[in-house]
Amino acid sequence: MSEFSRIAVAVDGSDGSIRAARVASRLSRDTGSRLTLLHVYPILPSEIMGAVSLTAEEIERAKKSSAERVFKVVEDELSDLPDDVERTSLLGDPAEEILGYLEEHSGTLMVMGRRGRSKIQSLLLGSVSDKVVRHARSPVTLVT
Amino acid sequence: MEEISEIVVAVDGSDSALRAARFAHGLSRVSGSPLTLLYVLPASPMDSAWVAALTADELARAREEAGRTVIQGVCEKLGLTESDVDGVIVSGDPAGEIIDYLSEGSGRMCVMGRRGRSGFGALLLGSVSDKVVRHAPGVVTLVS
Repeated sequence: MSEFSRIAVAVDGSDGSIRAARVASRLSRDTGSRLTLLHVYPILPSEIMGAVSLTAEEIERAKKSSAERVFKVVEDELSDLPDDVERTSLLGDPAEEILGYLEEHSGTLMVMGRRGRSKIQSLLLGSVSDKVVRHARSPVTLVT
Repeated sequence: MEEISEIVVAVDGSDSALRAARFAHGLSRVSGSPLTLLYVLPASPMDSAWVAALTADELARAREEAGRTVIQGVCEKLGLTESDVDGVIVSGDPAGEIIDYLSEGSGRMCVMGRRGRSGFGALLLGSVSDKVVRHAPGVVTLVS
């Protein structure tokens, strides 16, 4: 199918992201497109980062361990992930990072849950999926 | 939802809807899920002096004719005949009708353009796709 050759699903370990991963895995099989699990470790606002004074190495380690934990949850929940599934982890503002990923990887169908981990934040700022839907040029599939 | 039993694309004669239909058709072909073209003749009680001026019969005829024209147009552009797709024609508030249709069956995946026909309405009230994304059950894919 010409519209996309890759399916990326944003995963943060929430139930919504697991449901999104199920749909993504299904679509990947149905369309023969490569599946990527995409985890963004959210950086805290700079005033908090400054206050807790984590080093770059410590943040990198936190990102790695967060990603490993989330990928493990997805793998445990989905017994039928394709063998060639890719795992990508990024660091930063989740919506910005996802949009950046889509810019760099054209031909990607992005799959996301409508709600991820943040609750109060999404009420105040608009959720991650809202931002991605508004700004991405790629097709975006939202899963309830 | 894991199984996608039907791919539903909302069509209104706009280019954006045509791109969505092309995407939906591609997905339908590779996944083997049947394709439904859903047309809603906009007739919300708020802005429809023209609806009030028609008899029920005239409204039904207008709905059928408008729907047929749009659905035929999409089929032609995709190189399909009308027997290749299910055409569904309704009237009412577009977002509300799309959400109702998606809620009536299980495994219905919706594909929509990010922008449809309405111009100012979309800016003031939130576009049809915004509403569908917020309130529809299941899986919704937005195509630019």
